[in-house]
Amino acid sequence: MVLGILVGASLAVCGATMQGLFRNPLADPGIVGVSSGAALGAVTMIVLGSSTLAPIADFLGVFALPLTAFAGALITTLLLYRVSTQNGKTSVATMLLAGIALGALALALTGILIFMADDQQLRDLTFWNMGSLAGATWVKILAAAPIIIVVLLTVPFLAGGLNAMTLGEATARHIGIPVQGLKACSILVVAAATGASVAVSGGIGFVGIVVPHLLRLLIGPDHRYLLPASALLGASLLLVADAIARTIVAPAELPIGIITALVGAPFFLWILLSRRGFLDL
Amino acid sequence: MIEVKNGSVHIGKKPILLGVAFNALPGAITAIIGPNGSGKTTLLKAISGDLPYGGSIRVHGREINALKPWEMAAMRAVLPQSSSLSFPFTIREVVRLGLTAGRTGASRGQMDDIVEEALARVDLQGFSGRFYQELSGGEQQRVQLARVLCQVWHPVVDEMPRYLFLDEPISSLDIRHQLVILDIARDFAQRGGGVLAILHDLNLTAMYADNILVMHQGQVRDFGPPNAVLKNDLLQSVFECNLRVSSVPAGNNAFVLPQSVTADKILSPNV
Repeated sequence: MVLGILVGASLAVCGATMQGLFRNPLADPGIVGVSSGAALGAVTMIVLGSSTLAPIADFLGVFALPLTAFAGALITTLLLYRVSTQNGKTSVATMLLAGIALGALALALTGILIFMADDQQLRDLTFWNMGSLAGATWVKILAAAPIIIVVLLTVPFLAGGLNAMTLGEATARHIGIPVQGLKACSILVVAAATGASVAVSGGIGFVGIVVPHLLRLLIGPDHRYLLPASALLGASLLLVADAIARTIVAPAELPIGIITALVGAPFFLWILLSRRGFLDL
Repeated sequence: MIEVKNGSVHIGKKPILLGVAFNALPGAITAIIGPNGSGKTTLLKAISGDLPYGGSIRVHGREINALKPWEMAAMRAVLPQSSSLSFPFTIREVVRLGLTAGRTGASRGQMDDIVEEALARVDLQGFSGRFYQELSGGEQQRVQLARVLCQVWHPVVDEMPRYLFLDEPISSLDIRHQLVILDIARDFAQRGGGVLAILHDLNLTAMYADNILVMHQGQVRDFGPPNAVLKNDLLQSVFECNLRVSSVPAGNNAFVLPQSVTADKILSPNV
């Protein structure tokens, strides 16, 4: 349950931050390949942790999975930043496209690893990939919690800058926002929180897109309120989804990623259809 | 004062601006005119701190590439040629963004008053609760100007004049609002601030500008007060069309009458 709160808050805040940064209501760590990068890191450890990477896995112990996922997310984000930044300026369009390419690359590499995996590892991977809080242990929570809490405490300081970014990078700079610093900080924060969340819970989708959307309809797009509200609603939503996942096929437990996708995807489509004019796509 | 000396901007190896030199004084409106693609917007972007440049561009004696974004923001506000908004903010919220980094020291209530007054000055009183995306292009342009005005609400702070940089501020406006906006610029200059504006309407430029900078192919062709700069030969060669400069009957202003694209058509009307 603690893990659900942490992961829900982290995913929703990551989504809201990325959307503000990219000036696009559809941006999400899942879209720019950061989640795929994190997943690649985690899958590498799951598949190779008992053979090639055994010394590292033994050395890191329970922290192996969170740390490799974090490393995957960071490497993806830094590559993304390197590819899309020229003369110290980041093009959002290039970044989104580069994110798609990097995400595809990470998926392909993940595919190779899955091809190499044995039957037991395949089962682990499948459940992990669907997104699950079932494996929650205090050790896992202690590995992920510090990162997520630091992120949650940092993002409120980005709110004013993200509001100004709504008018575009040039205007944000004209208003006095140190745009390059804001972007670097947002990217680091998102990579850290995504890595931590993916490592402990796999691919739980749509929280990062649906929660900020819903809140913009309710309380408006001001990031000073949107970011903390996203944390609260994301945490609550994941708790509800978790309760459903645990009870609907009891005594078994459905992977929570299936619930969020089943509810989130149609909801997202509904938002697209009903608010198309406002989204300014 | 804004001083540009031997200013240049290159994109790749291609020079967009070369050897630009002029001063924009506080207390005056400096207009930048010239044909499309002559480097007007590039020049304004370089002075706004958006582009790497060669030569020297100084505001109040300080080279602008050494200034931090918030230091620049305290000295000047920039109205871009076009603006977009990625999320559905209200007019009030958009205009208020101009007060983000202004370090006005104003309280929350005073800020709300400034926002309302800025909207009233651009003729948009009562619009503050509406959504930006609902407005027409000209209304959105005026909202952006209200935001820009908020950022430099006092034209002079601690004896330091501040600047308004306006890129085609009246291009999408009807004639009444063209005058409203240029009156705001004139008022800002009369209260001690400086205005640097790219304009296309030569007659309004003649009416409002204190100095005119004529750009052509990335270089300055002339710089001076309207009556010295607005001459037949110069304008015809820069804009590559036939026109006639005379003066307004009741006043001292130059008046530019467009005639035809080429001189040939005037000389041989039968063709």
